[in-house]
Amino acid sequence: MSSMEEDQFSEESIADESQKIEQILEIESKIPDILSHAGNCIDAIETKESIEEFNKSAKSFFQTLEYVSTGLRKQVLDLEKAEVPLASLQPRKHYVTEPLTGMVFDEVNRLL
Amino acid sequence: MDEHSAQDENNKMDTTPLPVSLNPEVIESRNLAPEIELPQIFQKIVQERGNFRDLDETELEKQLEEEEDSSKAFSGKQDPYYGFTILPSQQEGNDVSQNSMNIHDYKKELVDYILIAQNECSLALDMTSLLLSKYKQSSSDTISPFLKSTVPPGSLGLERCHPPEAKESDSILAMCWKRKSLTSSKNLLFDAKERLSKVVDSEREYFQILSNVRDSSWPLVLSNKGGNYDVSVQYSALGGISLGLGLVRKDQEKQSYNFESGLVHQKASLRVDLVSSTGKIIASSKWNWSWGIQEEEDQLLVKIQSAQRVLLEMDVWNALLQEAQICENQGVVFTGDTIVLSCNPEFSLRIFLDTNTEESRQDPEADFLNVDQEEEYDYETKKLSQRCCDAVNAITHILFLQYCRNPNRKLQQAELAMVIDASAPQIIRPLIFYYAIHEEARQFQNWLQNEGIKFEYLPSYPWESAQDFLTFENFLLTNRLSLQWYLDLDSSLPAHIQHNPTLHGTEKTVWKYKDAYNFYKFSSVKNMCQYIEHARKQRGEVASNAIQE
Repeated sequence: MSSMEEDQFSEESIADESQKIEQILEIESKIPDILSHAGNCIDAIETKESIEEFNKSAKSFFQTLEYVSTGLRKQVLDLEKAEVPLASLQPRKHYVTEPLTGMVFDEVNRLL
Repeated sequence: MDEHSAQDENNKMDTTPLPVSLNPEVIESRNLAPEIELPQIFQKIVQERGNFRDLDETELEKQLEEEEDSSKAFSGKQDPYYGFTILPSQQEGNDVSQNSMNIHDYKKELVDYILIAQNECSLALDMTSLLLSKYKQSSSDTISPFLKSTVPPGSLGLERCHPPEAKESDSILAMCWKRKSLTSSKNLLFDAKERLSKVVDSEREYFQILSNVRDSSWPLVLSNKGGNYDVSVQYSALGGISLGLGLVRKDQEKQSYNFESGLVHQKASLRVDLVSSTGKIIASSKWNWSWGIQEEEDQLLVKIQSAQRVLLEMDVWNALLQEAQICENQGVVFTGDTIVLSCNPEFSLRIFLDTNTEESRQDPEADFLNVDQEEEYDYETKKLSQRCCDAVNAITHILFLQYCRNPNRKLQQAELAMVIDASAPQIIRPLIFYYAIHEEARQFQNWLQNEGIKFEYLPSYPWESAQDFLTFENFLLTNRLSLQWYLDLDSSLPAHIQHNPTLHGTEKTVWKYKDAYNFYKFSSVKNMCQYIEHARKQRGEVASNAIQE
């Protein structure tokens, strides 16, 4: 887990946006584990009555919590670093793009 | 065994004489039981059969018949305990109604519990306040007004006493209580985890699809509708006039993702029909986006593309309608769903938005079949008229592109002066303009041929020199054309005529006649023809005079 953390959060890794989304999805999939680790902690003391189990579960609980929180904070920082605008821009109206022109003229060629 | 004993008892009952006869007597308890009200009957029917609207006479009759049949079939064994079997089923029904509590019931329950708790608390507050009011003036403020009015303050006293003995069951209860709450909190955590991971899974699926859409370079727009943030796909990204945003939503039933655009039409394409004066369609052309079927596996992307196409066609149609409003003086008639260009008494062009959902035909030959089969036109003519329609459709789209590219195209001063609405698209007007030039040139040619005048027609259209499509697009909109005619009236007198038609009619005198001696301007072909006739006659007279002398 720690190696993966280093991999993902090293400064060198320059990921494009879809990779960023992948990372966030990765973090998101870990969030429910926080609950299950917490449940395991209670379970360890309450039914199994073993401190080692509890320590193990608590450790993984805090690890996951740390992973999620630092991961999300890192993403927020990355957003600031990439200077992603806060409000989404108003899309333009009344314009033509290259592909559209290409398609129209393709069809014109077909017709004429 | 039981039956035997019962029979025996019955026999005994029959045999033993009783003072009162046990013959059943029919007593109508009319006075006791009040008649059932109609609202109650309604309630019962709604409970038994659900919605009132679903009741159908024929179905009810059928059900009744079936019931009669079944009752005949079961008439043999009349169960004496029949009545008891109904009771459990009724209870089940009650349970179901309890389970399906709606939000108002929950709210009511919540309020009830809170009211009870509040009641308890205020009772305790009343008691302690009453006690303290003996020693402190200010604590009487917290006694409830009712208690204050009925009981004098300081009426409660206190005294030192021994504490009650601790019960063993209390500590057991406390421990069990804690253990139970621990277990339940553990279970709650696990359950929450289960639910949350399901949510996370569906979220992951959704965002992967969105990032897939983004990867194929459709822009995503974050829209805020009443505090709800939605990520919508801008399907009008390729261009056009209006802005189209659609949402990707999950279809709960099919477990698939759907693209929801606000479009009314599933399919739309601009259709141009050439209609004869009798109302028959001679040729028709339907615009077809050639990029429809790319190697897209993703259904969602295909849907986004088709939405883009439909919106574009609607934009084209709206631009045409907008322009049609200002060119009524050129014979453009429009209703809500068709625009008719009638420049020629024989034919008219009908333009409309075809929103047929049926499969658009791919090959042009199939379009041909669409047309009314008429014998009076041969194949060549049909082919030509087909080409005409195609050309109109194509140039409409090109000019639409031009309109989108330069929405605020700067009109020249002279054009501006003449145009009603400078911001209106220019699609129909250029089309009519070129058609009118052609018509005029044809008239002039016919006249010249009838008169037997030799001529040379040297039109130079701007688009002939276009290097690429963009310049072609711009050249279609040139305001002024210059068409040269060279006439050979007599062998000695060459005349040069310049025809300068303008798109917006900014010049009054479009024909310029020039020969060795004269330079005249004319506003119409007819005037010029008359002048040429006159000039020839004069020439002839002069020539004949010279011969006579």
